Amino acid sequence: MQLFITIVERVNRALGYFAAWAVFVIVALQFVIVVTRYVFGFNVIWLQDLVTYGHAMVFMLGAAVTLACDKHVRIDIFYTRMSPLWQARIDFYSTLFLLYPFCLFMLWFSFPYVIDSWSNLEGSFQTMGLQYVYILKSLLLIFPLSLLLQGGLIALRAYSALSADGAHRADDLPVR
Amino acid sequence: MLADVLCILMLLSSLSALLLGYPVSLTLAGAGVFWGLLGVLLGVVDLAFLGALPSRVYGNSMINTILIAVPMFIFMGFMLERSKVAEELLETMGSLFGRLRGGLGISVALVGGLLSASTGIVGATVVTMGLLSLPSMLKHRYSPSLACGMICASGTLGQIIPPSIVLILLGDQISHAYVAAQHSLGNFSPEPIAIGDLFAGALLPGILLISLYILYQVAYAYIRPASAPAVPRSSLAAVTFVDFVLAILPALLLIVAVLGSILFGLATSSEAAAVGAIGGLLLGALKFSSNADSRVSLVRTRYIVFSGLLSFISMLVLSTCFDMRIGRLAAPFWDRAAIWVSVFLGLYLFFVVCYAGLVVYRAGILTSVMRRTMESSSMIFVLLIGAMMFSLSFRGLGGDELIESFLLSLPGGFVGQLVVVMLLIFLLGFFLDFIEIIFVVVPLTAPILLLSGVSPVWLGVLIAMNLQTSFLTPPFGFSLFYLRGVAPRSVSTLSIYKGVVPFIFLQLLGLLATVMFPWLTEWLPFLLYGSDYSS
Repeated sequence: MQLFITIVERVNRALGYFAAWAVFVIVALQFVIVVTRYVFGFNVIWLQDLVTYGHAMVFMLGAAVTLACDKHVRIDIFYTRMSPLWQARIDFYSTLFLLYPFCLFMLWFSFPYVIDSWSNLEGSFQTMGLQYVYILKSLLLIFPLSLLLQGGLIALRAYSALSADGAHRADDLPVR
Repeated sequence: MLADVLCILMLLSSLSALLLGYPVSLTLAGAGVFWGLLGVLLGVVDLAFLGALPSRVYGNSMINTILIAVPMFIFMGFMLERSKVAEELLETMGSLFGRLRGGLGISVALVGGLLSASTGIVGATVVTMGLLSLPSMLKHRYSPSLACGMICASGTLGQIIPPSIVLILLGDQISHAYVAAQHSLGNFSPEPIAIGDLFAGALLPGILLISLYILYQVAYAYIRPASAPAVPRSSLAAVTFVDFVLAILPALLLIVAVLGSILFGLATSSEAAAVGAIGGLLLGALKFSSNADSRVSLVRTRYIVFSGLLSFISMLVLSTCFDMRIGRLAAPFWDRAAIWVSVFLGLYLFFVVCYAGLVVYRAGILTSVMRRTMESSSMIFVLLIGAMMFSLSFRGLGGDELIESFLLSLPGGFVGQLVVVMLLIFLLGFFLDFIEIIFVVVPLTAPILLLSGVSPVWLGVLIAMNLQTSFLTPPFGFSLFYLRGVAPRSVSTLSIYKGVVPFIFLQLLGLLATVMFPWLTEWLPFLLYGSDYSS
């Protein structure tokens, strides 16, 4: 179990690291495009496509690590005032009944979509564009998968908080 | 009938689920899946309809060329925040205007305007002003609530004054809505709305708001001089003209380069954002080499950055003077010479950017800026994806028709519809974030409002102003939270709330003026691009 946790954390951290560097790469490449386009008057379509790919990677790969750092916006009017026990309850059940159905739904429908793209090695609409649309579309599988794994960690942590508390339920932790 | 009940249940249950505090994006997505699949089970929704999700996510978020500007603008904003442009502006402006009655308040409004035209990150602006201006305003015996209100309101200007993330996200949604509305009006080849149009449209209303804030401050200072006294000259730092220019130059250059190139249609918003982001990087390099141990490195960085800037500008100048398209056969000698010079300048510029990147990286800033940009962008785009899932199910259940028939049944025609939608957005703004409203409410209501042929730019600016107000409304306005976080303990939360109330009324006044005088939003886009969406 510990091994599973370590692996998921490592993988998602690596994806997040990759996504963070993608930010800098797209900014720099877009600047190169500005120079080539406005000074030398030529459009490098595959470079623009590369920026698009990088842009998609930023959030499709970064979503899980953002979840891990709890940076997805919450409406925390009530949440911050709840006891840690209730927070754990909400995190546990919401992960199970909101995050998991969505991830499974997205995996289920993305699978044929992505397979279809791979089966004919789908390229760009533009002949000069980057011809790796099937790789780009694979992000549609990585995104729900990484969220699923990260959600598993969150649910596990919340569950252990819940069961640890079950041992001495009397001290329903005081509201902050 | 069954579907209608499901729609209403879906809305109510999702709203209450949101209040529990699980991440909004995932709650919306989960609720979408739950109600969508329930609809499939009950035979009111076609499963294939929901199956469009992957292609929607791919088309509307991953390869959406408009939204590529979002991470770049966020990067630029965080970079500028770390390079302390705001601090220098506040100090100089404060010393310049301080000796007037209410002068510190005026300087806050002006700096707020300048910062929002260059970065537009609300949190950063409010926090910086709360840390720098609030103590100095309090020390000079400004009324705490006036000072707080001014800081909160000026900080939110970033939402409405272009370039802003709100306007980009909103522009994307409004454009979809406009195309949908035009389709149902029988126009099958409508022009999509350019982000530049919305930027140009929002500029005058934004300036109007700044002027309203300043007018309010001046009037208040004259009616109650004790609330905003002039600062004695002895306690002000002497500001020379050179200081003023040096403080305002970075912000002004960025505004001209980024906003100017978008407004004049020279560059797409993501190209302008990239230029701004690199500009921020260069500024950061200047800032962080001055923190380094040796003074030599600062001087060296200065030379390198300014020469880099110079080479960029001279490349652009060369390209307007010569025909530098590469790949032409038999180009005249001077054109070829210009191309070679530019190639060298370009390589030099590349070196400068690498150098600046290295300086900022060594200072440990680049990594954190990239990281925060990645997190903010993920937050926004996952929310977009969650909202797509939600709307897909809601539409599958026929929710859009339900809303349409509700809005169309309202008395008062278009005005009635507009009032209800605006009120809805305003009320939701009390506890939802602007992004949620843009992604969920706007796509459902805007197509119906646009059916009556009003200008989409006008509608977009109205919604943006409305959303900006929601940052100010107690008890959950974000701007208030940010200020509370940095305000000294002596300032009570109640005085912050009290302080923003007049500014909320000023917002409503601005909103009303924009409703009454649509040319405020339409004149500039028409002047710049000849765009005319009203029919």
